[in-house]
Amino acid sequence: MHGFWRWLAEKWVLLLGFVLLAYLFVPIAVVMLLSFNQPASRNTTYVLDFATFQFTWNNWTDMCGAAGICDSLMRSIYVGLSATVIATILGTLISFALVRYRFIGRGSTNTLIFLPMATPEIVMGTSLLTLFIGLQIPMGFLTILIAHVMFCISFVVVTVKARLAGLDPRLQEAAMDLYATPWQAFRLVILPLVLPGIVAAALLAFSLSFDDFIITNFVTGTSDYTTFPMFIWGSNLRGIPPQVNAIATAMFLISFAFVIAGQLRTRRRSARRAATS
Amino acid sequence: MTDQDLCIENVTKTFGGFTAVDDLTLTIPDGSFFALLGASGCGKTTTLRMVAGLEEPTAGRITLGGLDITRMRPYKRPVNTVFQSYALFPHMNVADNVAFGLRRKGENRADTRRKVAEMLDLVQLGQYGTRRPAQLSGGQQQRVALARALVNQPEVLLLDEPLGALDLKLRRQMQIELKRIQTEVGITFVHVTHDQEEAMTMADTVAVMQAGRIEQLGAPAEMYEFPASAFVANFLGQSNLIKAEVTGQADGHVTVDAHGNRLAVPSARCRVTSGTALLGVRPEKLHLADGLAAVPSGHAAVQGVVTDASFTGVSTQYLVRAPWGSELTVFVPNSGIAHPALPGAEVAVHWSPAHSFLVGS
Repeated sequence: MHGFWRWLAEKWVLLLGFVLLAYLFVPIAVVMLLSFNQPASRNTTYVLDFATFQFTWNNWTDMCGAAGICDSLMRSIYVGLSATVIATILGTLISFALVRYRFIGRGSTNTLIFLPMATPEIVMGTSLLTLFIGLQIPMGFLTILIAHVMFCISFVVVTVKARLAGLDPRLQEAAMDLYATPWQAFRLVILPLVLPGIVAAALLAFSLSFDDFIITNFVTGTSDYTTFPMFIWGSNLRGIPPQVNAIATAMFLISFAFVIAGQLRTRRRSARRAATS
Repeated sequence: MTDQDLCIENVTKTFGGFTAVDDLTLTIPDGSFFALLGASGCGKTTTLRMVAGLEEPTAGRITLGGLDITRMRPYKRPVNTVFQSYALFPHMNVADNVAFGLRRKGENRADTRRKVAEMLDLVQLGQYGTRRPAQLSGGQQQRVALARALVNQPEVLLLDEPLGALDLKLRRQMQIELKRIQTEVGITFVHVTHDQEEAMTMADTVAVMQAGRIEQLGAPAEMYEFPASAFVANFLGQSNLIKAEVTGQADGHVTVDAHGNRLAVPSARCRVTSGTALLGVRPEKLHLADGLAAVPSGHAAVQGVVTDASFTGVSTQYLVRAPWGSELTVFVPNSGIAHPALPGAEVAVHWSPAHSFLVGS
């Protein structure tokens, strides 16, 4: 008994750590498990009962089996990619302006750029809806895209700006001193150094757009442009098709692969650095 | 004046209300090692950046070999810079850093490879071509920055405090190295520094700058021995400056009255010949004697009391309080001849008038 308390005293921090990790990962594990379950009916898609668990590959082999599920998935990917490209380009340009140039209103721009991040989505959703109705823009892909680009830009700016701010401004001058035109200096020196920040910003923008429900819900209006989160929410009322779990798991694995790849890259680079120095 | 001289004519640069460079006119001869020396904020780096094309003059003209480059874009100038922070491209290896300029100029591959290899050998980094800048020491990075600029064979190489980030020992080593390389390649070097010893060690010609203007320009030894102003006398090494009233001129000498002492300075070593002036003598030109009686004939002398003696190895640095209250610094070389004076001792400080100079106060 004495031994147990002593063991606990030494290991309780570690135990607590495991409990916390479990807290973080159990929901994901449940979705993964359910992606291999054949539910008795649509209303029991989210019932994890080991007594009735029935293993199946069907959800994975027949991902598009449920009506409308893959259409909505493609719409989300399409909106996500479009919003990412536009927001990343615009956001990167804003970051360069904010870091490189001194102009009137720079300080306030720096502060205001945070505003969309700080505004509750429900507020932004309603105000965008009001705006679109006021301007008589028909709801659908365009309004969703405008809204997504808008809330992604701030995140892109913050991410790219952090990378740019850490860059020695002399590098640009050094490149120009070595006969590089401003465009060559950007392409050969500045862009490669800022690229990791831009890629990170793009990934962030895509995941924000792909995931968004609240704002999208407002700006979709009555159109039939149903994104993936909208589809899940809609089918939740009628019973969720089990393929949703397979798609969710796949999405998780893809983003996880990105994280691992990033980690491996940094680790390999520092190992190489350690080996040669 | 040969063809490739760098001429700065009446150049002024203002930032808002601040005048960084004030009507500067300067000719830097082709092939010389020229140092711009001054405290921070004196305009030396701004001058360099205007030559590099990284700043545009507010007024004036800069020509290189007769060609007006005042408003020429930096990437079109036959001028390269070694930056203070080196500004090496961190994502490229050493060889690619050095090859950058050649590639922009469209040099062919074989020539580029050969020139890069030669240049890396010149700066003794032949084995380091594939390393990243982050894997090099400060001194090695400095040499990469030098190689990256020199490989382009510029008309003028600009060096902006290139040794500032190195420790003292490495700095001394690099000073000799830079001088060797300059002699070898024969390119005009314009070196900006706040370190007077560095400027004097390396440069053929030194320009002392203050508040956007040149205080004095000349060969280091010439300027050191006969500074043009009190500022130069104090900035370039140390000086004892004694306030003196000019009383007259006779036999090629200017006679002054310094706190009751009648002293003479050769006319050729006087920047002013009337009114209130400062009589200057370098600490190593001052000697100590036990009393006025022991002062060699022809030497000027003042009496004083030793207040401090600090032994530095090669010399002993004495502080001697003169009767009028200020202290004179005297360096006595540790040559084994002079016996040490102790604090509190009454001494006579004497010097040869030929070693003194008179500047405006």
